[in-house]
Amino acid sequence: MNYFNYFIQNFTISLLLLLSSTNEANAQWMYFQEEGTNFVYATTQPSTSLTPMSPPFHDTSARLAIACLNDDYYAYILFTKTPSIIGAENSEFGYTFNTKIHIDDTSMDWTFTQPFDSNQLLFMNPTELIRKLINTEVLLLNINWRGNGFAMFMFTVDEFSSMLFHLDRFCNT
Amino acid sequence: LKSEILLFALLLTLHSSLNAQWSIRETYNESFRQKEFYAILGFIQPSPALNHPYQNTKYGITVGCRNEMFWVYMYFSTVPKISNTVLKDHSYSFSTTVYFGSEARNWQMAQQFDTNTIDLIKPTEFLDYMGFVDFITVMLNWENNPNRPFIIDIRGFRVVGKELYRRCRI
Repeated sequence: MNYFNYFIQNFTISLLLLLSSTNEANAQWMYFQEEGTNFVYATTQPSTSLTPMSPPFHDTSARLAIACLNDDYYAYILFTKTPSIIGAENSEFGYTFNTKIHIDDTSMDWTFTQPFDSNQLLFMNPTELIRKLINTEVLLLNINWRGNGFAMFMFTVDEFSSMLFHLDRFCNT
Repeated sequence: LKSEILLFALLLTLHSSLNAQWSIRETYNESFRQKEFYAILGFIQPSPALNHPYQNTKYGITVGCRNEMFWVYMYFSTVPKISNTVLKDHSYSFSTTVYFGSEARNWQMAQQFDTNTIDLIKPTEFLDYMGFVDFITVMLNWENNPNRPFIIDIRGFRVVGKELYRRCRI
């Protein structure tokens, strides 16, 4: 079963890599600056789960966001609905859990925190993640979403370093 | 004839807004291990319909509660595109005119990225105002549909609201 999952995931990644390489227009970062602050962030285009989700989560979409505030970098996922994650444990700031992520063909475990009642999942050690995402194409995330098994979200991270360059320019002003 | 057409149009609008019924839905919030209750009204057809490509867009309103905490949002069948917003907490934030009956008030609203809902800030205050009127009208500056009224018949909420308050132990 594990092997099957592994195969499916890798197959999906290769297929999506193929698709994304033929469709450059999808790899666009969107930039935001919050009113009256120097909090800036870039997000990917919204994408829905690769595995179908049941109502009320069937239309949930997600964006990967890289944010910068006072020279500190953050990475998080912005969902349109508040995720309910199996195996998350209470910590000081919210629910903490480990899950498997894939960056191109490499898979690794990553720790996330979901602030209480928030639709954001924060990557712990964001600087390390950002370093790993440079010159890669796809980030894939498996989330044990209550009532939906493992929901799988994929983000195209083309042109990551030029995005960082833009963000850095705004962040330092 | 003109007045007849107008009367017919008025009846049609009244009919369409009367058609929309309130319903109560119960869900369980796993994160908080508490029940949540929603009073939902919808869908309502804007009259006149919005301009292309939003001509099929319908709307509704939802009042939600969990353990004495309340929230109110409008929901739409397509993701709303509101003009002249500012960014705040990963949301498009703006203020707009809301008519409670004929009394106009400025209200702060927020729409999170990619969602088809618009939150009404200060929901408890909003519910207080709602209790005194039959209709509320939310004015929205929708892209290529400037200053559109979204009329909501809230007469049915008197009964449904009581039930909601009871279940959320107020």
